[in-house]
Amino acid sequence: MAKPRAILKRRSSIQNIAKITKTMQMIATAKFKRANDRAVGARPYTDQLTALINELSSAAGEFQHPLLEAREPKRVAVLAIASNRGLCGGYNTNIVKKTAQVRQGILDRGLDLTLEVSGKKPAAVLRFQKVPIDKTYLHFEDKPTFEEVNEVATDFMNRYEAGEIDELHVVYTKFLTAARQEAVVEKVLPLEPPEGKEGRDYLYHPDAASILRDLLPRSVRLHVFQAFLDAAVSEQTARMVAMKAATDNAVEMIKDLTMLYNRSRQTLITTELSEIIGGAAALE
Amino acid sequence: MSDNLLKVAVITPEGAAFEGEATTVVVPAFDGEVAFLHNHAPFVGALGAGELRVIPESGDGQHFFLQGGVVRVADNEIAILAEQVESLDALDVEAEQRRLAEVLGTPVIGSLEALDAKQLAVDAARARRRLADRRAGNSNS
Repeated sequence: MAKPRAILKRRSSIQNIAKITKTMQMIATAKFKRANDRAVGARPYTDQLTALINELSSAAGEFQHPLLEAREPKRVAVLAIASNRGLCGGYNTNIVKKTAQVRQGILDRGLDLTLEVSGKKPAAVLRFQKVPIDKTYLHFEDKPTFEEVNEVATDFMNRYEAGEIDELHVVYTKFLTAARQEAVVEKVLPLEPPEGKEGRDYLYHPDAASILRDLLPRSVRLHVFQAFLDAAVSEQTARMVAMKAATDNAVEMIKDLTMLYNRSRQTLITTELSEIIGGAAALE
Repeated sequence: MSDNLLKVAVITPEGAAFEGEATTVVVPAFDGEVAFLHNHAPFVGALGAGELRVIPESGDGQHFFLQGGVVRVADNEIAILAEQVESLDALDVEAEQRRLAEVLGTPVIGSLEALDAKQLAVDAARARRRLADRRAGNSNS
């Protein structure tokens, strides 16, 4: 049986681990609330913008816009969004898997691929797998601001309009419910033509088509922003769940080790006692 | 007199910047200012850079700087969608002056679109400078 002192040492190191994971869980919970508020806060904007685009497109009639124009794809851009930090369960792994799958699909269609990755972790794994990455973004932390995302999205739109890329797909973790997040891929560019919806009889200033032309790039930016927000919420949820499991496991292990320690200490005492008794018996 | 109020919501991708009621709302349209009162006809308009004023029944009201976006008015509800909304208090004359100089100094390369983009940026910077100036109490603009 193991030495009691060694067991004690091991138990105290696991107690430290439990403390750390417990703290991380609490931090993730706090961050999750903030990230969730932001994701929920963006919803009214999304709803209003979508409604407006639909109404405008039915008022504008025949409408042409470079972002709506679907061409025969030659070069497809993929933006994968995961995190800079680990210790969040399968969060990053799922994104990497999904990205690999999407990548294979595009290569199988015989198309060129531009792969851009946000997050240190997925970038490291993909690099290890010898997947070529064209660009890595590392500055998105747990609070992606609209301004930061705006830059990335506008860059993609410029390249799309210049004909450098023909499609843009975003791979991210969609936050479905607190218990369910899923790695998904969504096509951002070209835009789906808006489903026209008969709206009110508005006065347009200047005219429906011009306003629509101004709104379409906004909806692209918003789509990308929403993906970043969802990814941020999902990351914190994933970390919360992973750290909860780690804490539970550590507590379980501490219990087992305590038992083992008591038992081995008892064995030691018993052995010692029987030696003394044996020694005394030999003297008689 | 709650029957002549407009419900106002200033919405950005990062959440609502303002929600409340007002008697008059003045928005910076792309070609000048537009004011809305109770029972305005349904309206959708593109916004430019400038000052948004939300004026309640009494008092001074709320002032914001916004740049681009869209306003929709229907049934005495007015929704302002903008990507960038700032409180006027955040504007500082010197910083805005620097920004304006910087924008004016950027060269236009290539196309007409670049020229348009620069014009927009200059207009926005001018509007910011003017508002910052006015807030600081100078009336020379």
